[in-house]
Amino acid sequence: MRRHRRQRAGMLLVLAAGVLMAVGWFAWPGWGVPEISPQDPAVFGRVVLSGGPAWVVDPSRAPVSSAAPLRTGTQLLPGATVRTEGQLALSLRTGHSLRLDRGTQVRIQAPAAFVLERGAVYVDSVSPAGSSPTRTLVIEVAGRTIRDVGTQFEVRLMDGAEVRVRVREGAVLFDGETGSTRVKRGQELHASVAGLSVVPAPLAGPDWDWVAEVTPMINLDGRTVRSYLDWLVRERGWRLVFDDPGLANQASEIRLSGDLEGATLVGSLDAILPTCDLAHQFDPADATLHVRRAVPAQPIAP
Amino acid sequence: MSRGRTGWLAPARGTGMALLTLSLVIWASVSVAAARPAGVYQGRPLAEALRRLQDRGLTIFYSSELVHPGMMVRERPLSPWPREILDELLFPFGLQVRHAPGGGLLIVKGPPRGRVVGLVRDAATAHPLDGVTVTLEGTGVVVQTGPDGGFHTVPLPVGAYTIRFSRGGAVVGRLEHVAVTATRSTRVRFDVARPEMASEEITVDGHRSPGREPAPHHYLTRAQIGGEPLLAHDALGGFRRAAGVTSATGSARLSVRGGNDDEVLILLDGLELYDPFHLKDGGGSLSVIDSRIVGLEDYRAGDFPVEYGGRMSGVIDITSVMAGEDGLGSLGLSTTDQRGATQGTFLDGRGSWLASGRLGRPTTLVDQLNLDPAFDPRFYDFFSKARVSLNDTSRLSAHFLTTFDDFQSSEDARVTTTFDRGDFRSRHTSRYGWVTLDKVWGTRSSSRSVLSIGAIDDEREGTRDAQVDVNDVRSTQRFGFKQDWMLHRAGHLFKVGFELEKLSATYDYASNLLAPVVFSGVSPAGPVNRALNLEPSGTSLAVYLDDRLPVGKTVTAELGLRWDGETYTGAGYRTVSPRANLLWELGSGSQLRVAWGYFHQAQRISELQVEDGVSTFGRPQRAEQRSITLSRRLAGDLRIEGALYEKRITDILPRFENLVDPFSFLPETNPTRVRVAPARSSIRGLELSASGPVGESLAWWGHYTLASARDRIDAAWVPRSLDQRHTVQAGFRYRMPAGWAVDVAGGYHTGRPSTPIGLTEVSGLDGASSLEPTFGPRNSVRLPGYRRLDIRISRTLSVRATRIHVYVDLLNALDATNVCCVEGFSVLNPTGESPGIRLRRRPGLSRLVSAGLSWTF
Repeated sequence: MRRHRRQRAGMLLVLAAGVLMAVGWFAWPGWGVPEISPQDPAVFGRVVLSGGPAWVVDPSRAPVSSAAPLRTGTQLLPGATVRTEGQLALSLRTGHSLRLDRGTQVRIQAPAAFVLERGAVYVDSVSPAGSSPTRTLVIEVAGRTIRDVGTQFEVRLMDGAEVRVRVREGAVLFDGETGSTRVKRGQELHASVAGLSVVPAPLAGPDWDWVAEVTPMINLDGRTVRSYLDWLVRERGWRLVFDDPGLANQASEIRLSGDLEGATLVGSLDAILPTCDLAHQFDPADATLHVRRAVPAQPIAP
Repeated sequence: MSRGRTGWLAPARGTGMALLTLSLVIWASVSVAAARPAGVYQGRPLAEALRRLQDRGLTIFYSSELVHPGMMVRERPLSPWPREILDELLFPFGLQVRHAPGGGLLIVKGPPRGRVVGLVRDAATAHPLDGVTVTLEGTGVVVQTGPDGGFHTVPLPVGAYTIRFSRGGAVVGRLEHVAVTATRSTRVRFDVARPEMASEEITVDGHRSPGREPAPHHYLTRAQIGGEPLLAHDALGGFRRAAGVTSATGSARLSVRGGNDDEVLILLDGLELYDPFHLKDGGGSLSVIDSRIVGLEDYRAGDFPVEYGGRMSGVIDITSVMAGEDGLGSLGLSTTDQRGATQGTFLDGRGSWLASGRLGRPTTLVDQLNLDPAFDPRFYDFFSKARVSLNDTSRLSAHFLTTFDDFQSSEDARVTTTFDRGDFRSRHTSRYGWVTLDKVWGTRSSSRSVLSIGAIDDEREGTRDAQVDVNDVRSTQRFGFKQDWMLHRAGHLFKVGFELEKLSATYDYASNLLAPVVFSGVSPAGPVNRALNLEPSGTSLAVYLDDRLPVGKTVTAELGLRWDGETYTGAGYRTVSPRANLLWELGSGSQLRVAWGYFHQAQRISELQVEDGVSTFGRPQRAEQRSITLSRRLAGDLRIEGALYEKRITDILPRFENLVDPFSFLPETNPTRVRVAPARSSIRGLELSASGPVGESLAWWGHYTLASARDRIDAAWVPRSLDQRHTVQAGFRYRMPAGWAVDVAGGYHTGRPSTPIGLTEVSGLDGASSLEPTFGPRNSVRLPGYRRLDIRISRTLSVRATRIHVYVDLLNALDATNVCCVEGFSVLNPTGESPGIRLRRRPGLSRLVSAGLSWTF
């Protein structure tokens, strides 16, 4: 009888230990959650930020309901067609950062090539980590081809036939019916049945806001505030000016700790600068961000 | 031996559950140990402290510009909660927290701020006061004192403030021109004089109002309970030393002012618990409430207001500890039990939770209580609660309590007392779950709603030498809802409320007594075969209304009316209990309290005495109580109090007692069992008590009680079994440097009544005479006086950020031979020249050395 009891107690202990181990396995950070490897050569990229509904669709089937929804972390393979209703940010295997505007559809052809069938895409060939892409990205749109040359640019298919390419940084090569055209920083190319034109384009402004809205936040922990500001103004096409000459150097010394869950590029400035005892002012006329020291807080009367 | 129906938890499953529970508790405790308590931050760089808080789950964002390496944390945070700790850590550096738009906490520079840290005490006793509301007028800042009487505010803008202290809806004082300076803690202390003057103001969170009640009551704080030399950390143990309280030797059940030990209402966080004791079949040696989960115990010896009902002698209202009052977790090991507890917060500190479990196998206790060593008791209890503030005026809390007892004879040994020779086993399980919603309505009213469910399962089975066979299986289910309201109107404090319970029970009882030992006049005439299967069900409803009002400037009156009714009794009993209390402030720290009232006690649905053949519920018992209490506060915080009381009980429920061996494991088969059915009872007493501190490190107390508790039986007054003519108790607590403390409590009381046993010559049918043992007049002799001295020596050590508490209890330190009762007798020389009776008296608790260790982190 006692032996039976001991056996039963032993089984219960083992059961308890098993429960604890299972709980610990899933509770321990990083355990039990498989990491996605973006280095798989077959993978085009993965979703890093979802700003609204998006799906992998089969173009032969019209209803969107039959499509597979895209979520953060979803991997995309060549052959897939992505359709967005909201905005979407992808991290490509090549190292590019790709953002899709609302109402966009792209068909992925190869790990470094896709076809823009509708809407607009924004390409940044410098990843948030600062690394350069390993391959040239090729975008086909309405029978033309666009190749990046270390740039930030937007490609938009307008009215199904007209293509607009805007370059904010670096340059791109546009291959059309009339040959190859190099589009540089601050230029905007229009290609349609009527011909091709290149005109000056703003580097910042409302037309670029959708890109900022879907820009994934960088990892702030351990980064200097100067590094953060440089990243911010680049993403927004702004210019950075420190009002105090010594502040630029000081900003390079101020190190940030922690991360801001749920922070966005747009809202991060108001959150981060006060933690550094800094303030800012944005001048839209020349798209310049002025950074200065914060005014000391005043006592509040009880 | 037949097996009874399995209860909610079979023993093996119970043991397994207990193991699993304790494992989870320990695991959770260990997991939060890495988080470290508040003290881990002191003396470390602020940045490191912030990283620890990040590890604890706070999403904190900061920069080296405002949090630089030279910043060191100099003060230990007072709060245990991460979010509050963060405020405290930042405060000395002029930093504050701002919420980030997408979530997370930003550390930014703030305007110059200070804060107020304080202590609120009872002016008369210097005891810290829990539940005092501290309001900084004009700021919206409202905090409440904890069980240690302490409070602290959030960082405040520098300036001068007026602080208002409120208790139970009444303002008890103000401190004006309290200066708050930048990055400093302004420390204040406020002593509350009692009774506080009436006021029309009401606080936002004062639901109960113990401070200025005309009805007398006493309380023990968590700190006081923790220092007591208590058997197995019994939460009710401290009250055994209160004036007017007695208990049977080895029992944790309390008898208040001459009442029986089933006449005390025991509440835990607002829910009434039914017979909440472990080792019930050994007399109920421990309560199921671990003293270490207790935040405050409010004790009322009779004369309690109408919001309390159902029992007629006393109330013990226990409030569990607030999660976070004592570290994040603790592990404890003692000679009677093992214990683990853990706690934490959620929803950015708006919610908190607490879980505590205890496993016990008190074999040492069994030995020292002189129970038969063949018995092998085991128990566990588990308590958990979670509380969340829904908004500024609502608070929701959920509680769960489960207990389990397994009490059995070992397989190899048999019980060898006079009348119990056999096998015995019992299992008791109880589970309670309840949800409480506290709500403040505007500025002048508040409510508390409690929804509860409970289930109790009891099984007993035993045999004795093939002559007795008992199988007793019972279960009780409760489902209840109660609501209490406090309303302030025109200087009156109205309390109204109701409690509705749906109750059901099953009794499956069978006993066979084949050849009973026969004693003339006290035993069954022949073999008894008893089989009862009952399933009572129904409801109970209680409604009360109470009005507390000022009468002139120095008198506060409280008039209340309570109505109780039960349908499960089948007889439709209804009772009305009017009560009145008067408090007269005599000046110079003197108060006079006068109380009168009716107190009814209906039989609970689980209290049917089926083991003694009772199959119907009796009438509710009624006690008419009156008392006069005079208290005075003298210089040096010395407090003296005298009380005169009288209790007249009618409609008394007949009870069954064993003249010999009252703690028999199958008491209903004891041949000396008698039915006691007094026509009425009369209890009177005088209580004198004094307490006070001597300097900062010594506090003492003492009291003397002169009492008489008698039953009217057959036109004669007979002492009740727990009657104690004289009772003296005293003790002190001495705190020494380096965390050492000595607590001493001792007492003496007159021996309790006993029924004499003699020899009577009896003539048989054949004309031959013989000597037979017979019992004399009930309770007409006294057992020897009872003496006991308990000592606790303890030391609390701070090891890094954790605290280790080590104690040694020496219970009955002088090893006084206290007689519990007569457990047997034998006839000497029945046919010789000098025949006689030899009584075998059962000793009470012999000297017991109990030690324990607890680690709080």
